[in-house]
Amino acid sequence: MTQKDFVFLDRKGNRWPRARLALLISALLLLVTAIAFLQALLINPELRLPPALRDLKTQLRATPPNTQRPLLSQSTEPWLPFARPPGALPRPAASSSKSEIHAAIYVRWDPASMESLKKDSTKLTHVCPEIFNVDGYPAKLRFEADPDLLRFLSATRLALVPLLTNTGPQGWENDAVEGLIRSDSSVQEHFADELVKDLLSIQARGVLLDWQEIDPQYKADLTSFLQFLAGRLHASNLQLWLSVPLGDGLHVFDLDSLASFTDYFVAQLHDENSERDNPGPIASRPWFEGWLRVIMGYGKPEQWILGLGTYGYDWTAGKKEARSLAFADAMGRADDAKVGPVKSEAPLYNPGFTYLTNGEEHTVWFLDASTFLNQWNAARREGCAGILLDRLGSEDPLLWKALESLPPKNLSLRDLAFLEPLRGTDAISHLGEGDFVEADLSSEPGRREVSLGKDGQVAVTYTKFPQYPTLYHTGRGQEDEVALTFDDGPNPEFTPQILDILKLYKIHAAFFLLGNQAEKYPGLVRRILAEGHEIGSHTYTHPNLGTISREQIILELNATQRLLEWITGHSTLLFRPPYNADAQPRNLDEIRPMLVAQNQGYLTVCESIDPEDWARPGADAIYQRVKQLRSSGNIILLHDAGGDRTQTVAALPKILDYLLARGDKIVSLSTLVGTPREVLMPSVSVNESSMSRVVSSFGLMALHGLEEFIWAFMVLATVLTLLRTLAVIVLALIHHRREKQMLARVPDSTEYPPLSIVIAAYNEEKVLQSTLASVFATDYKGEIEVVVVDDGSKDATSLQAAEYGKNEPRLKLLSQSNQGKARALSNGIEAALHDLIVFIDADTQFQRDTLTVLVRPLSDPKTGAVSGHARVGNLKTWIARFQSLEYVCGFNLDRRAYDILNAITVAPGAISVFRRQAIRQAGGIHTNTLAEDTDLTLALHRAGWRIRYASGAKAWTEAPESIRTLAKQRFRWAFGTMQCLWKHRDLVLNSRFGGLAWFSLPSIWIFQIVLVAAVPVVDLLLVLSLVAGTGMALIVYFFVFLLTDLMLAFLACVLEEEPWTRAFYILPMRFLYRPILSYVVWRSILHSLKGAWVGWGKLERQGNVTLPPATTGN
Amino acid sequence: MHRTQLPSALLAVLFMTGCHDAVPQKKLPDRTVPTRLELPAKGAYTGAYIDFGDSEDDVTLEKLDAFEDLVGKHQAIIASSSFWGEQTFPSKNLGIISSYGAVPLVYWSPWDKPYEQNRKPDRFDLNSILEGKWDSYIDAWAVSARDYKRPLLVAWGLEMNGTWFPWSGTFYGAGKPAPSGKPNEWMGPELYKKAYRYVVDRVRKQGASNILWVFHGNNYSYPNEDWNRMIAYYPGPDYVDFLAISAYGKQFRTEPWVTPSDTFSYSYNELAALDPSKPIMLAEWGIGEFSKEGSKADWIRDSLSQLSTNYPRLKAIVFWNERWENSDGSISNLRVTSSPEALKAYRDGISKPFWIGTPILH
Repeated sequence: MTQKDFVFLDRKGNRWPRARLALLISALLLLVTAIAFLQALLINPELRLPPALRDLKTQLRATPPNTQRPLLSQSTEPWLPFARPPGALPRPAASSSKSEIHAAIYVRWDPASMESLKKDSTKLTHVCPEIFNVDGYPAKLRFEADPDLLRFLSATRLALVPLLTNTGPQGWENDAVEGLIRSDSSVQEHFADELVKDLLSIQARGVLLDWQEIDPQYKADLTSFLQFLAGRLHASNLQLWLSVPLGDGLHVFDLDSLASFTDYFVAQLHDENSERDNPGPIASRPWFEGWLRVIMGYGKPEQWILGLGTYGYDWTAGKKEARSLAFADAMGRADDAKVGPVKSEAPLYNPGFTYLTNGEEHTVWFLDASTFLNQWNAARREGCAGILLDRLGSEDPLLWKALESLPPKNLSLRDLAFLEPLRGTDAISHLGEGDFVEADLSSEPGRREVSLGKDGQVAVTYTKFPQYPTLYHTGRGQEDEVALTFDDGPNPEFTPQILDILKLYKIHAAFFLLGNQAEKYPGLVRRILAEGHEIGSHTYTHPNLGTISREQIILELNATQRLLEWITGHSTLLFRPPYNADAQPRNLDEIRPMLVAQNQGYLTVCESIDPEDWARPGADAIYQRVKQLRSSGNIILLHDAGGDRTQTVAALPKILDYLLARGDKIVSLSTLVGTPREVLMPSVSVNESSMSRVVSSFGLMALHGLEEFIWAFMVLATVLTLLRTLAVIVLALIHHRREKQMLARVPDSTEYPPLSIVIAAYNEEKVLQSTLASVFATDYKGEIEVVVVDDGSKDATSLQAAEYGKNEPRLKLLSQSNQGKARALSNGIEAALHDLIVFIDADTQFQRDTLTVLVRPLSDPKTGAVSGHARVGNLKTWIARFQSLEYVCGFNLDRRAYDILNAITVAPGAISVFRRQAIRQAGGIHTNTLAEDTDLTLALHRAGWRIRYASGAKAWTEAPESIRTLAKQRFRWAFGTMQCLWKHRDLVLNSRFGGLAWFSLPSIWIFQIVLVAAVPVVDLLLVLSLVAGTGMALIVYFFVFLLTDLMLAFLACVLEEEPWTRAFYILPMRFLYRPILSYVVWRSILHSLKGAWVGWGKLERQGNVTLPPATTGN
Repeated sequence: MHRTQLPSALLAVLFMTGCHDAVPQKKLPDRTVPTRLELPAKGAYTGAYIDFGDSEDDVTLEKLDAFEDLVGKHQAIIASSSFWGEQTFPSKNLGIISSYGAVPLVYWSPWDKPYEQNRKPDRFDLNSILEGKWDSYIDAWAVSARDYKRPLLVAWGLEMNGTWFPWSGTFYGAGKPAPSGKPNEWMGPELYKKAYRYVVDRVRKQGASNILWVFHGNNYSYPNEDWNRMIAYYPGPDYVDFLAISAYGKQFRTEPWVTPSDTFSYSYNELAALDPSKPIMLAEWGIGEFSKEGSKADWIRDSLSQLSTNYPRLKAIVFWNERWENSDGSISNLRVTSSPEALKAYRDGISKPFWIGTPILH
């Protein structure tokens, strides 16, 4: 037989070139498509924000120059009622022995406060955070530690003097304080204990009591309470600082009495005109000096710390309350409105200006480094203890420079030159109100001219306002307007529930979708839009935009945009950055990604009501937080995906009920910005960019299809694997029971028919003798002969056989030139005398009972062949031990199961017995596959023979001991198996062949070829998804497989009476086998494509079988 | 849920008994609106005006909830103002009040900004009303009130027998003889009555039959003269569903202490005499905290006790819960929280079942 019918052999040799060409062409096509797709994604969608939403700054206008500057708002001098008659008390001399106190108020709600503190803490001595307050009836001390601050402070030498205020959610909790100072001593004792304990716990130096708007009729009560409290504080070495309001609020403070036990008074020398008053200076010089003069009449000067403002107010005509401004905010307004020169000069020495926006008139008064210098000088002049900046984060950055370089008594203009250039800093200026944000990071220095007034005061004229990085806010809407937004969706479980609720309430929300979610659930995206909600982009994969490149951000945005266009036919201008949607960003780095989106034409939508539902604090907590935060803004952030959102779904109706009950209108984002929905989500129109849109749509569709396919594949593979495992377990157990029954019966003499044992040997000198010894040591009661066919070995194989034959007449030796195993076996069969042919490999060791057990199923005349049970005999290496386990639980268990269905695919050459008649009917042993045993077995099936499995017929074979040899062996097997599968492909799903056609052959196709070939792809997906952090489920899937493997291994070990602990080898084995098996399958596929001839030993040579004379005896 | 959960989810479905919670099919509250307020046969409604900040017309749900928490009782009536100077109907306030579950009492005052007391008649002069200058506003207001559908208590032109509001008779001829020349009819009160009836007639013409009209005077007349008594201003039984007064204990530093019986009994009798059967309401009551002159806690305790026993026709009381600063820097603290004792007295007193916190609506 020649190799021209060798399965997969391509004699003309043009299959491979064709396959290669086909591969090349598909690869090129794929590449071109991918490039076109990527390019389509990189071409920016044309997004056009309406001008009304852009360029908020163009809406700011300077007021006409004829607008007169407001004068001092209070015509009377409000400090007069508190002034002492001149010379009433001797003024103690100012002592400057102590070092000056430089304190500053720190607030948690403004990130700029921490930024300032970090930058300039070395110029301060004390920091006063707002962490204590009193509220409730009866009054309670509330303490909200600020871990970030405490951590920071622990690394500095700053002293901590926290504020104890009486602010509450509804305003001043004056009733609470009045209740406390009039309550009996036990209540006050308790309060003092708590306060001292808390102060000590944070290593505070003291407390700054800031109680406002106390009823003056309780003056005496307040004094005695403070005296008591001071005593308690001093006993624990803590200081009492007392904030003193200047104005009517001062009535309740009996400064003369208080001075005897208060460590420091802090005079609030700002808010001359508060946010609820009419517009006017924050701290004009006459007002400041007037009050300073008055308070210096009380206590000692070194007992006073002057509270200096560092902020501004922006009053809008007709509005109840002014907005407080940081210095940068004031600069931003002046610059944008292009107001003329602004002066801080005599007599007020307090800068201010007016501007218009959308017809609304604004008045701004603010404080800067020059007002600070003047006021600080006043403090030093009076010999005060120091100053308290109110507050960190709102100050003119040059204030720090002023504070650093202590001014000499007589300031010269040269000393002050540093005040003139107004360089850009990291300060961010905020303009407008609302959570729709636009950034302008350009900055330009400004300038103010410094001069000295006649009274020695520093005066400045702002000639050019600096341009600071600015955030323009819009969309504040009406006070009762509020919008709901949902991030991270869509999600098949929670989004529909949320949509149902919204529908029930007949309200519309906005959904900021993730591209990768939308891509998976396009139906939900369409439903969101169809039910009247808005959609926005939340990027494709939810990356932290601060950590990825600009190009990646653009890709994220475009891919999402294209996807949404493809799904809905609408673009969207709405964008919400992942992770950082706070409308008060900490620093410029948080704004930059926003800017990329903005330059692409997006409108960034932040939020101001974030109940942090993603952290799953409980439905009620989510609801309560929305309630608490409602007044702080009008865009609520919730999540409809990204985890279990049961709590969000449960909280939503409560939130909606609450909002509706409080009279809110739940509106869409387009309503908030006053734009039609169609502007924010324009229909995709056919225009010049439609080609790239088609390409991207097609690409997205293909990607979608591919992904669907992969997941369907994974699911199908999982299900099939589990089903097959289950079937094998059940069938193997049945086989086990039946076999036991059969073996229990004692065989009669007819069950010992004569046997011919055929061994094909090629270079087997090392093992042949012991193989023969084990065969002849059999306890088989019938006649046996052994035919050894030497397939042209180059070693002493023939010699050894001949040697052995000298003493063993039952041994017959045949020699042939090297022609392959199949030919060797064929020749062996021809030479054999008996009708039952036992095949064993030359390296296989029999047990004494192997033959006896092996032939028993042949008592059934329909049985054409019996497979024995090959076991690994060399357990020295791990590789071999793995194979041992594989033989036990893979091959053996499968064969047991297949036996029941008459579906055994291979009676292995290593140990099996065939009827000569059956071999003849099957057409003999063919040489056109590498797996002649499989080929033969399948041919027997074809001829209608039954193939059985005798698990007790154990033969111990030698397994490859290195990965190389294992791979080689497995390649031979895999290629041979593929050849047989191909050759016998008509058997698959052929109803004549029952279990073989429907179970075992499809099993090989699916589980040994397709799934094994897919291993690299699956593993790549696994690694990728692990890297992307979404791999948890894949790992679960992976472990399910390991677990089924382990289960099978346990069962096999139990059935074969192996130690069950060996089953655990299956775990490391998987990791070794996966790549090897995958490698050999791919190599086989490649080989079959190439159509080359593959030999099991060397390539065949023409030659004859010759029987050496020494062994031809008998 | 990220993509990779799909296979495992399917596995779970295959091998476990999945349990999926169905979306709870929540129903929105029933849309049938109650249109009639039933007065309790026994006991009286309790309600409040709650410090709504700077203006008297800014109702928030947060404040209503906080007040309820504070006093430990739901409020049957929530009072707020609707000033003509705004030229609007307080739809939002009423929406909040009804979703809170109370009946609104609206002080509908023909008053212009800046809503400061002791100012002379402004553009809402009673004559201008009678001349029809504000008809369209009245009509629009009435239509909105009608569309509100629920019962609504409206006190138009309250405390007309004082001197601090511009619609008081004292600004319109006071005790001069009326044009009719009849005895017991005076110029100021007659004009007020005419304007009152004019407004009510116009509102009724728009079909706002859900309004319960509250005739709301001050417990003592200023000046305390015959022409200025409540009876002189009473527009007649056809125009009034509730007889009401404002009655306060000591409110200002300069005032003397007033006992509960002095505060309520005289004016109750005066009011009761206006009509033999109409229910009576204490449309504003309260007291400042002046611990040197007297105990606010005692005053509240005694008042609630007397109000529940001595005044059989009293069907509603509305506590005025506000703190303000006077021009002399003194504080008038009428809040229940002005002292822990006052709060306790109010909580204890109002907790009696006599005081009904939930309106009976049909």
